[in-house]
Amino acid sequence: MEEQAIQLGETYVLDAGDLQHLLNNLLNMGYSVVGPTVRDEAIVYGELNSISDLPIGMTDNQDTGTYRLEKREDGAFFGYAVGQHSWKQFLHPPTASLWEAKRKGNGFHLIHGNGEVPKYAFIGVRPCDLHAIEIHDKIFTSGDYKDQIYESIRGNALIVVVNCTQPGGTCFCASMDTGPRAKSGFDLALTEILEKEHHYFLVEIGNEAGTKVLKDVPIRPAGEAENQAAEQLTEKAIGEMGRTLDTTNLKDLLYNNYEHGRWDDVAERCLSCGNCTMVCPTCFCNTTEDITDLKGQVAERIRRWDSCFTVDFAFIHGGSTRTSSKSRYRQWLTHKLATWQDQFGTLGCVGCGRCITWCPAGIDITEEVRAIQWVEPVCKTCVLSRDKSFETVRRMLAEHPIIRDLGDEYLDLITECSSIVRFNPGEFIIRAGEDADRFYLIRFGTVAIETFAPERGAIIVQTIGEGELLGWSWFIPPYKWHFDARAVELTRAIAVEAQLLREECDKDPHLGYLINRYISEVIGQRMEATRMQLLDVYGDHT
Amino acid sequence: MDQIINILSEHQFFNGLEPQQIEAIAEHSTRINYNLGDFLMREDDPGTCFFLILFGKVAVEVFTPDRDPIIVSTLGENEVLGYCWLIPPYQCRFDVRAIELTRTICVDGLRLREICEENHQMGYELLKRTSQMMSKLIEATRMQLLDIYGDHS
Repeated sequence: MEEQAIQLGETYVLDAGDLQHLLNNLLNMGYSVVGPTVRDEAIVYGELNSISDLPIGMTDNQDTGTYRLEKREDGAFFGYAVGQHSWKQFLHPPTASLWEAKRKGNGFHLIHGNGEVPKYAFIGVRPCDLHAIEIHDKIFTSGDYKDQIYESIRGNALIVVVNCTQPGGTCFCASMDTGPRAKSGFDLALTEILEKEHHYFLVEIGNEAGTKVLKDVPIRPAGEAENQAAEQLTEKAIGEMGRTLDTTNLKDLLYNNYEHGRWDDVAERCLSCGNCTMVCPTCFCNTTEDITDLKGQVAERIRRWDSCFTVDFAFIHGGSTRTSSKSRYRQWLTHKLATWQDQFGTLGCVGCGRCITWCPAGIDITEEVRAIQWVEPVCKTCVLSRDKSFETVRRMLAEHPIIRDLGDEYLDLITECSSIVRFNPGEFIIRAGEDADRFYLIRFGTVAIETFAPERGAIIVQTIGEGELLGWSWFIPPYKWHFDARAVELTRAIAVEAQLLREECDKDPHLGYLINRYISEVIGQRMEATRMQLLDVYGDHT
Repeated sequence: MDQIINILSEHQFFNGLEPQQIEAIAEHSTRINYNLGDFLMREDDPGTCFFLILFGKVAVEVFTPDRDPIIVSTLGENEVLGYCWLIPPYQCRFDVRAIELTRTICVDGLRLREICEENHQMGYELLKRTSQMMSKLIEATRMQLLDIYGDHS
């Protein structure tokens, strides 16, 4: 392909095998290429010399306080979400020398900075992280907090975004409007597409620098099908976000809830370790330290990352202003989501989910916000509709067989009555004897249906998992639960408040019929499972 | 025929149906009596029957290869039986045996399903009642399972 034919704003196709060409170009242009690579059982950012350094065929399984590296069934180059590293470690290094003084005769000689400024090419920048870089750009390259170190490294850096097609269990960029596809701010943006016969990247070119990098790289203009494939992957990714965060009136909400009881609750769990601030791609707090050698020949002032979770961080003359975990966590969350807006005009959170994954105590920022957003409901039917992102839930519901055939009108109604809920291992979802006023569609995890027998404790009758319906007693008089249901492992589900739906079924027999037919099928399947289990148990003892 | 119509229209399962609808169902119904020990259904039979029990008692059983069948539930007068006509693969999943002289009306499940599909209003009503019956049966089956665990604990 001729170089002059490459046009900004157009999309191109780059075969996966030819990504090495792009890498070679960057290396030849003198860039130090940094991108995802597997190290210490995680996908971190490190130096890339060949595409074989990429985490090919690997993915990450993330949830509250857990991160697991796993093998994929395909050979995707970028088939993971994000690891614990973010780009701030390159652009805003963990330690940097501000100046060094060396004794020279009766005076001293001053040296500024770390010397040569590195020339980075970042490959595999996720859109959420790109937004984090944009936030830093705004803070460090203009205004009161201009930072020479950041500015010089950033000025040299080239950004190759790889749009996210594999959101993690703790991701919520769709809620923060920072992903999963980057719209601007990159030099090049790739979307990885894996089809049966064809593994390629859809390439978007952000500027002239991006064009130069593509010199002599074998690309061809993308067709309708390829553009569509990328769009579909984006759509799919939006639906797969593990978390949601409702950002409506967030600032006022947090300002008005400075004394909310939830801060005490989270303080009970928070270890004040500062992991969240270390992994956060926007946290940039730092402190300075002066070091002198024992001979008194050299003195140096270095800057290093700090965290608002340490007691020293808020130390002013007389003592620390934030002596409790409660005050430190409150400061951090309120800064990310409220005061940051007043200070810098944007939210300080991009929805990457790192603070959730890497919190050893399993604290989830989206859950903490939800707890503060929670208002004692006036109407029971609205209980579940409060804390959810309508579109996400709607999309998930639309695919479920119980709802698929009902049409848009009912989809909206059911979405109104739904919310995303999660249960910790061992937590009860349903208690026998209570009113059956809702049902659950399990998205992830395993639920045991059990009953409690005196002296023997809980006995499991059946377990149900992903994609399955939990609970039909809301549909069958006397609308009481007959069994307990308990999460065996961490379980996520869509909870659907059933009262409205039940009333609607009575009004519209067509709806009632379709739902009933589905429920009958489910009962039939469960009956079969129970029957088999009965045979099994008998078999064991014969 | 008239007698079947009368029985159907008085039965609570069909309560609230229009006379024409009752007639349509009656057309596909027959009276069948079973002696003690006769099977109303056998596991894996094509599930075409829906029974109203008019008199007597039946046991819903699970067949086991090397011991007595497990009785999951017993049903008697005025109760209904059979849901396999409703759900693919339309096969009986239990053995059902008369444990005394039993008189029934057997409704052709294939036809009943068609009627439900054609008329969702009626289908909704009938399914609601059927799923109630199924719900009871699965609960009974689960209880049986728990009993077994209990025996051996």
